[in-house]
Amino acid sequence: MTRLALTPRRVVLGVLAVVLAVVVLYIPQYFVEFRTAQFTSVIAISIAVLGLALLTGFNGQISVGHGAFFGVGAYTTAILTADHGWSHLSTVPVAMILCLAIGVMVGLPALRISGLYLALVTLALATLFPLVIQKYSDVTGGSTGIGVPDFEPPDWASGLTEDQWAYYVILAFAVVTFVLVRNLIRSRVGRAIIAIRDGEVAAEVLGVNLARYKVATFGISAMIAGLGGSLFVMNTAVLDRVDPSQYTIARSIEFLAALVIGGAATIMGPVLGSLFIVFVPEFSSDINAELSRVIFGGVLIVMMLVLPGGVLGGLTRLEAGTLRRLGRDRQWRRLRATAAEADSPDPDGSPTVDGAAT
Amino acid sequence: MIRSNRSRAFVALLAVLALVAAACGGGRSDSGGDNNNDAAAANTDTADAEYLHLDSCDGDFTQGVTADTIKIGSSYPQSGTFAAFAEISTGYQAYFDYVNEELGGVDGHQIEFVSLDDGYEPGRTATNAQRLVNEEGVFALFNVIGTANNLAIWDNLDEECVPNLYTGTGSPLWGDPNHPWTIGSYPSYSLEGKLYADYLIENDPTATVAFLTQNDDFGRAYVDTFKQSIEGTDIEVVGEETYEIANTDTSSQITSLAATDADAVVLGTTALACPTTLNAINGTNWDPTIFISGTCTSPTLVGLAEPGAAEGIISITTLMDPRDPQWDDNEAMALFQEKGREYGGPDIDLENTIVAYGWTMGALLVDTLSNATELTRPAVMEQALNLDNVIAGVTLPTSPFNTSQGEDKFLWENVQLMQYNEDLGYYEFIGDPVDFEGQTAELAPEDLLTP
Amino acid sequence: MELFFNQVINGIQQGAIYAALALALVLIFRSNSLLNFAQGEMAMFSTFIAWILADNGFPVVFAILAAMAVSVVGGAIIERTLIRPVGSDNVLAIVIVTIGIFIATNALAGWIYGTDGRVFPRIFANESLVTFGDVTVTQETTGIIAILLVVVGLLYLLFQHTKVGLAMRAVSSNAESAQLVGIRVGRILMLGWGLAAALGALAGSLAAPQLNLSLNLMQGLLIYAFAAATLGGFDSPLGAVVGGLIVGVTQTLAGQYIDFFDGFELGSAFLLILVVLLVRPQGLFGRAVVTRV
Repeated sequence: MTRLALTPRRVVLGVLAVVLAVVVLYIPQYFVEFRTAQFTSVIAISIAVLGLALLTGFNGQISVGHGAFFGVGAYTTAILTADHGWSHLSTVPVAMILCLAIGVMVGLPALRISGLYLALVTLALATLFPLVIQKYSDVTGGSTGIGVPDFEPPDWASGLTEDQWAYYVILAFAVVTFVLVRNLIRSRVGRAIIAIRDGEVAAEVLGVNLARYKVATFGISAMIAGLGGSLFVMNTAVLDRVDPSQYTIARSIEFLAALVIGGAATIMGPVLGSLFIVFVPEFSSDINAELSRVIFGGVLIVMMLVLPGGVLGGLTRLEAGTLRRLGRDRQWRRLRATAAEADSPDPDGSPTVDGAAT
Repeated sequence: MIRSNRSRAFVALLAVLALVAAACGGGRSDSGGDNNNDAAAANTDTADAEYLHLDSCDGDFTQGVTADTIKIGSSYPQSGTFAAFAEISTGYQAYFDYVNEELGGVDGHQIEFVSLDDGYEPGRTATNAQRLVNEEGVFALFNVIGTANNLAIWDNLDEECVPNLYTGTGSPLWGDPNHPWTIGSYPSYSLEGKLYADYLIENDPTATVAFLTQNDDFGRAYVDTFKQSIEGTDIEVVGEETYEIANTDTSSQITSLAATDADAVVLGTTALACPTTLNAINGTNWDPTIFISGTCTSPTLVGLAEPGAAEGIISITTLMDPRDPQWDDNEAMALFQEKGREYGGPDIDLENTIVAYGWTMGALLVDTLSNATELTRPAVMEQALNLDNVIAGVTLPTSPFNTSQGEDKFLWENVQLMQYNEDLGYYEFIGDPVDFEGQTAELAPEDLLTP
Repeated sequence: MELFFNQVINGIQQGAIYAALALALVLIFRSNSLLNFAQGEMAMFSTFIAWILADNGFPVVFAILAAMAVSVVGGAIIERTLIRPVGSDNVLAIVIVTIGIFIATNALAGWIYGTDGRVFPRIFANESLVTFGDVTVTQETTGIIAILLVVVGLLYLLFQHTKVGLAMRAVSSNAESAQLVGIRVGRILMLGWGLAAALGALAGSLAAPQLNLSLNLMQGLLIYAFAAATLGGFDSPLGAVVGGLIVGVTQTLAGQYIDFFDGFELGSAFLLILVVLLVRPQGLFGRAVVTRV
């Protein structure tokens, strides 16, 4: 294995990563309790949005119903901890497996329904979820909800307060999940998943088993969303209850919004998008409660018209545009170089090809 | 390619985090630090100190009070479907303005009122409550609307010993002695169930009854208490239907109930389901005695019913109806009409009982603050828990506010049965006011008393 | 037995309203090949416009027609400014944009009109037209269905016997070819949205007397309307009406006679959508779509 060269780019990346890590770890030490709890919910939501990114951004299956999986995970944890005395972390595998199963069950009929129709079906599913909660109110507490036991730090971490503990635990889960999903996307499986999005017929011709991949992606995506929901509920410092109003169609729309705002087919996009949808409505609501929702809808629309690649996509374009203008774009330079070489005879032979490639 | 994306992503993240930090500020302190709690605690007698668990309080007892102001906060829906509740605030805002202008505030302290929008979502209420207490530094929370919403905040508020006064819900839950810092306002929905049952037992002892209720604890309060109250009598329940909050078209349920031809129907409904249900009943041949939730009786809701649909509906009240001429010469009503108009602006709807409720709550709050021995949280809470025949705002002269610390946290237990007269345009009283003083906890079915 | 008939009539009554909104959904799909998740909110907004006109003294029918006219313009503008730039291929973007319009329109309506419910004047009285024993069919229900059938007839005439209709069919079938033969595709797309918006305004005005006009007017209906359009076939106006009535009756009867759906009627609509999309995706009256690979 060759040693990784220390290119300037890699150094910058490394420094940025370290700075970011320090900042992220410092947040619960810096902010007040409820703000820290807000950041914790951002992290939990970003996990769910990552699940959606896998399905919708990378695999092209549109889901307006991930709020329902989020809710299943949330209620699973709530019911098991509140009514059956389970410890919080032990409910996570249950929530994940349950959502995996439901995701596969939804993914199967989804094979035959695509595009806008799938969006419709998932929308209906998400609308039904709070009704299901109400229907089985004996178990779920109905519209009043269930009180969730506090997620306290254990003895070995007694230096941390409740909100700090929740933050670090959920952050740990998030880091692991993001790394795993990133590796998945970069693997052969990931390439197959993306190939299906870009052209089902072509993918099938190339030997990708459509049904297996699509259903599996649906299941995994739902499982990740369920993980997000389960962790969301453990953020008990500020909110120690579940109730259906947290898991309505609005939640699904929020996820979709976070996805496209951050950047639909990116790994870090969900984090950016989640920060946006948690903090911006609060600030805009302070300015004017009713108009803030108009602005939110407007932002979604404008986003699709102007920055279909989300903020990250927009940054990419911005960077490319600025570099080009500064004359420091590698592509431009190579083109100019090859043009210059074409004018004057080149002692070495034919001009390089790769400059014109990408 | 992915590498470049990542560094851009990191930069973007750092930028956003910096923005948030700038907008929200840090402010985390390690311990409670010096506060005035010891002094305030010393002024409270031991029984109260114990009931209010003063020794385990996190917060600062005099937060939000300066030399000449006192800061009060609330969280309620200001946008979205439930924003109709925001009209309550027009009533108490007008009262606060009146008190600030003409009475010099509360003992020389101008009332500073801050409110945040929660869209009726308990999750947002929880964050709002924390913001109000920790960022805005309010003294107390007031009239937070919604049962689930208050459930989301009462644990934290109790830990921090912040008064959560006069919540805008009639759930029997607020009688819970384990949360001494939260106190409700509305007469409990279960009282209505009992009242309607008693009325029928007296006037039509062999009546058959049907129910249409909302599919949640609110609706269940009516059904369960009613059924509990008719045990052993000849009243028979012949039909029960429910509806979902989101779907206010109850015509199928009414068709179903109409087939039972019950003598009476109890409508545990609220918001837009009220007029649609009345219309649905009106459209059938069924002609039952209609008992309807007190939350339906405002003109904004009843006014939406078809002509004749609301005629004769029976409900309860604890407020003077601005449209009822018997109060034309009443001092408190005159004050409401005059000062409400002066400080509420031209748009305030002074005929609306919702606004009258808000005004009354504002008056109750001011009364509580004024009569507390000092402006500290324990003292104010002690006052709220020991109200003695307090008349405030436009509450009925026969519906004073009464609480008794440790025994009865329900403050509005004297209710008046009333019946709507469409020609007159207001509700006429039926019989004498009914005194349920101290009985709400007994009357409510067990499972409604704990969340 | 009487209860059964009463519930069937109830179902037809509610179904007529689903059918009205479904007509708008079908029209947009037929002419612009997309599902508009914002159709209901746009309809609600237009209904408020009609209400304001009626409240200021204009006769109801005039108010509704005026609101429909305004909606045509509004719909066309939305298509031109918000939908066209996105492009018809980017399905995710279309979904996001229509959801964004949903949110913005609802919030805008809340900001402009407030959140109180209002009474919407009736065109047809809520009195019985025909009575069989204890079962009544109201004038209102019959009137709504009659209007919807007239609209279906007009749409049929439009699509089959006018040049504009022909152009619309051409555009939805193959926009590029249509452009090549000289059809102004942009204008046609705007017309599609405009007409659908007008139908939405009509749907809202027909539903509002019974449900009371408020921000929520269409939200409870949207899924049912989608179920109606799915069942009838997304490109068949007649299907929308028939589908609406069937969905209405199904959900009432399901709620009455099947315990599982009692208080959970939306579940029956969802089941219907699922079954239709899996078994016969083109619905009852739609045309099966064959995709060339």
